Amino acid sequence: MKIFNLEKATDSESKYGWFYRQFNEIFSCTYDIQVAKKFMKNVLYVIEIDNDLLINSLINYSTFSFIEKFSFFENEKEILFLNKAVFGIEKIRYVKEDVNKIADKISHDLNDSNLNYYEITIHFVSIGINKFDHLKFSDSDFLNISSKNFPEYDVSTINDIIKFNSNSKVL
Amino acid sequence: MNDTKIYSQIISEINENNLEEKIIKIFTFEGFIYHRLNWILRVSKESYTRLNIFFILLIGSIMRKGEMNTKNFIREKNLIFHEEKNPLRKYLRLYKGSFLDEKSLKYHIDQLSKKSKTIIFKNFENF
Repeated sequence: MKIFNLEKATDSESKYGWFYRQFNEIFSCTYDIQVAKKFMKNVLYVIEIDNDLLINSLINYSTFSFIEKFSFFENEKEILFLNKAVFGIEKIRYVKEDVNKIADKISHDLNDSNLNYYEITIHFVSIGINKFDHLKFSDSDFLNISSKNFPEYDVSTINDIIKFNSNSKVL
Repeated sequence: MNDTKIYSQIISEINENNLEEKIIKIFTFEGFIYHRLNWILRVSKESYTRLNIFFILLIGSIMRKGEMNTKNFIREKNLIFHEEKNPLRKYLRLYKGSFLDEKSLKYHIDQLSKKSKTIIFKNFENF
């Protein structure tokens, strides 16, 4: 198992394809990186959603909403996700801002604590409310599905989950 | 103006055509309703019995506005990017700033190598 060493991570990145994150709150983000940086201390999440998922309607557009026009703070360019959304952590890297580039920017947009930060890239995995979503994140060694009463579509879903969660084997 | 006065003002503006917008506005004001609701979600997780009618209205408002606006908004703002290494891959990119400090991040990362991912999942509530 990989061990991430923060001290050695300045010029590299580490991958965490097997680790998942659920925010357990109405999850707020923005499409403007400069806005996000105003709300960070040392960590910036970058959330990526594959266009294929959007095109093929694998993600329902009702899972998240661009609420900029209705927000109390319109300039935050805010997006709200439903609280059950599940994200996979893809990589973590340490970002050093180029001081020369920063000098060209308007000073009030940045404060010193934001010059260097950890960037955690996460990708959307699931809306988290489907029937067997919890099994994707189970650390059980086995799934007991000995019942013969499973409908065909359930078997297909569980089959996909077993491919996704390589820890689990069917009992 | 304190939280209560702002809430009262937003509520007084509600009519039959703008309920969803005003519910979202109340939440995004980030006053005590915002903090209380997210605290309950973090603490009780699966249990919705402790949540109130505002939460149900908020979820409904987000879902309905998402259905109505998200697709067009992404297109209008041109928010789909191409991956440099793989131009065929396109994705929507969003950002979230976190107040997690370096020490706490290091602690959480250390846990990754020591515990099962389900336990880590629970431990990362404030990650």
